[in-house]
Amino acid sequence: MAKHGARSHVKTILTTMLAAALLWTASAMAQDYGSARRTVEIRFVRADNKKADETEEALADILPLLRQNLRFTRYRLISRRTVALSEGQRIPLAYGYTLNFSNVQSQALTVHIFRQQQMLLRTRLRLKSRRPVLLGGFPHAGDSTLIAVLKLMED
Amino acid sequence: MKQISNKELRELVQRAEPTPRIPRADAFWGRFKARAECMPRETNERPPAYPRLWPKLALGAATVITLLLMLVVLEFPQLPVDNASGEPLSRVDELDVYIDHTSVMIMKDRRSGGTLVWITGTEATTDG
Repeated sequence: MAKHGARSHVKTILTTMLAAALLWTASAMAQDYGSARRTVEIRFVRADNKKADETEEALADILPLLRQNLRFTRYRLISRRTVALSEGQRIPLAYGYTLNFSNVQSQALTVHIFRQQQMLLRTRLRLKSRRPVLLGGFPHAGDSTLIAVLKLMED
Repeated sequence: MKQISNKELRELVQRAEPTPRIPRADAFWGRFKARAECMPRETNERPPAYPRLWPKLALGAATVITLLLMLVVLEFPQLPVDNASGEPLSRVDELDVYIDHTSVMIMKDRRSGGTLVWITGTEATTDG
């Protein structure tokens, strides 16, 4: 009787472990599938010290971050694109600047920023949902500075 | 030896041991039931299965907790220790700058929930 009970418990434990393994695999697969639906919003911002006019609604979410850490008085949105988080994306920004995605793995990716054909910067980022990364400090005409803002968007 | 007929034999037997009267069935069962009610009954019913249920419930709970932990680990590989709001910030793992510059700063603003990479002292400018 006791032997039968022990066998039953072993059977239950094995079944549970198998179910857990299957669920783990399904979860991992779902996560990979989810990465196909992830998008990155890319904004190109021009910052200068001219008199600030109206607040850009399109920058409302990152204005606290900009104002907290940078000393510019005005931030203007130059371009805005939303692209899939996938390999080989090539996104033209403005003023000859281009941004490339490579080595995309889940939420991690390598970003290259080019101006014309010249590579300016390469960085490996691990993006978190709705947590922006600002890549900036590229001087521009009229004492302004250009900033690329990347923000991972998930459903 | 004297031989007796069947009829005589039957009469002799009846005389020696009269035919017993067969008791009535309902009286018998009445006595049986009355006696049975006084006796402790042995039942074949099993004791409730609650004690055997606990290991299974414990295993189920352990499985659910394990799965939840797995999901948390899969979804949030880094523990949220660097953010005031409890959620992790985007992270810069590597950075190479290919133009002349003075310095590079990587800042994590926990209050605003953003990460900032700032290159200073670059000389190249673009016209716009």
